[in-house]
Amino acid sequence: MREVSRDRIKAFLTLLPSIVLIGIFVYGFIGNTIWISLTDWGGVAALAEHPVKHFIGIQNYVDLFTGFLEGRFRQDMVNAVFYSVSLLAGAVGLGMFIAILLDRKPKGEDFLRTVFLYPMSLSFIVSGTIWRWMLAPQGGVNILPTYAGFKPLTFKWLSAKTTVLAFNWQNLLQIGLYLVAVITIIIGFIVYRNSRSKSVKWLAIGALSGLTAWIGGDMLPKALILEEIHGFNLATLGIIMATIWQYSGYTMALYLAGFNGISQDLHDAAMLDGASTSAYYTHIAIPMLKPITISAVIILSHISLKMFDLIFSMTGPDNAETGHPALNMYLTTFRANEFARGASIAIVLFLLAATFIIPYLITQYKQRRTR
Amino acid sequence: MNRSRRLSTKLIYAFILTVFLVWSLFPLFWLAITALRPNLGPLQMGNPFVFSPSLDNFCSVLSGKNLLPYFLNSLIIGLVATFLSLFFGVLAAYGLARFNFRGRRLALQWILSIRLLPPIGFVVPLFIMFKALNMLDTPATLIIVYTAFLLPFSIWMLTTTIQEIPKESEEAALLDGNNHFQVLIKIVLPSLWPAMAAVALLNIVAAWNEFLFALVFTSKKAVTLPVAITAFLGDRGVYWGEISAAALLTAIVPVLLLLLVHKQLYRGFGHWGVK
Repeated sequence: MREVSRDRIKAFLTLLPSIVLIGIFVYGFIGNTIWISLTDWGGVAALAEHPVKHFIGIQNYVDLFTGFLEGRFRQDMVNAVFYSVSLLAGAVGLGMFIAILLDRKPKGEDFLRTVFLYPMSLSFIVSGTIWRWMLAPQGGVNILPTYAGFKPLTFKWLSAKTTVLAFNWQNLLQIGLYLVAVITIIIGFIVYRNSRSKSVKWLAIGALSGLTAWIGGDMLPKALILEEIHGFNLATLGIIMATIWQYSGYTMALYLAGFNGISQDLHDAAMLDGASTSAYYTHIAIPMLKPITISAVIILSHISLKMFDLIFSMTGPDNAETGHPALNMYLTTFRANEFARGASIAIVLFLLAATFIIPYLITQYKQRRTR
Repeated sequence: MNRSRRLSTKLIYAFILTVFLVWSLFPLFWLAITALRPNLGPLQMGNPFVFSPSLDNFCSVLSGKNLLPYFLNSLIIGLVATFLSLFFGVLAAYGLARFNFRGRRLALQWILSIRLLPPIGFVVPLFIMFKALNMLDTPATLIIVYTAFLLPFSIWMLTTTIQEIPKESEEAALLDGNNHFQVLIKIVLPSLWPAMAAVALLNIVAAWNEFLFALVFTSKKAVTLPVAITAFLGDRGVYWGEISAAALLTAIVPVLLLLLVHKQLYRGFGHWGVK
């Protein structure tokens, strides 16, 4: 008993420096940022000796999502969503594909692994510089076809003005409901095999929100007074491509490590049973590596949420077409001196991060308990 | 029939791998040939593959644009932050792995979760604090911030490594009258070296590449390489030859370190996915 309590003190002492550093830097500052975001701190005298701050509640957040002037922030959010989704699909898909190729142990596997992984170690500023140069309108990728005798491409990778999948921000609520409907119905079909009752619940939620959106339609409250169109800006394609280039090697490494962890016996048994190579991966190996897929998704979402350097070096911080909430936060805070508004953008980003960190932590914690 | 089919499968397979090889290497190759191309004006393209290579751009960024001080800043800040994060990290990891106390598992998960928060959220309060302390634009500021942000990952990696080392010899040493500190130094550290080396290299790469905090907290004296490069992107059109040379110099360090550590890295990835 006494041994245990002495242990506790020693443990406390070894952990103390880290707890202090992390505690102050992380939680103290999150608290501080939340507080700032609830005030009206900003403007010309923002950096005076004793700046004037008033508590104004959640007004900053209301302005961000429904305010007349913050249209750019809303486009940034839309960009971030499309950006995350394309990065996830691209980097996980490509990484998985390369990992399967390398899992067949070709000659020079060691060399190939390193070559595919190295982009990850580069600074985003460096890779941004490279890709900006390669995607220049009259250079790089666009002139490559001329070497094979074709016409050069004319696509403006980083400055195209085209927007696809456009929608009106006024109908945000309706679109949100449709999205909920689609997602829950998909989940309903996935769990159908395991549990009928759960599946019915999911399908019911989906049908309900879908119906509300469909029938409610125009009666639902509008998020804005005026029509405001947002969508997927094609100018972000170059940035998405550069990020996939940089991180597909990383997901490849995760999957490769996972494939190596699957015992050779299992592989041989599957092959003896007459499974084809593709069946082995789709029905056995990939489902077994679900934890790896989850960590890859989490790490990539995290990267797309904190994306700053790459866009900064590829298109500059001021380019509205390729904006991102993190860049917007930087400009709002340090160019316009609107500290409170900037803090509220930061908190929105935190909340987005929390939506995937918290479920992840809970599942991890439960898994370890049962073990 | 069968043989020719096998051959064609092999060819397709080799072809796909080559495509990925080019996809992965071409950007770096492009950077290198641009850096070696002399006298490239702001808007010139020319033929990117035909030129007489020279080291002019490297000379001009190192002496003319004076990149060297930034190089040193990056190096010093990276090394000190890495050392500090390892020092505190080993202490905390030993505590987390070897002492029994309530909430230990939760503490580990909590530490890991911090890594996933977007750093942009910390910029404002940090900026205010360092401004109040008159510490903006000093290397110490970046060292403190990097140490704090490198700690969670270091602690997590080192804790999982220590947990895999068998306890028995440590318990024997404790019974012989050594205290925990001696045990840590004499018994744990020797088997922890490989993991520490891997974590150290990853940390130094992360500190070397960090941009956001360096951009906000420095202006002149403590500027690091990534921030220095973005200055080239701004003024009077982009001189691609020079900026490529600077970018290549910045890229060399992390790529070499990755080559050194990639075996351990793969072992670490194995961990990560499974746990």
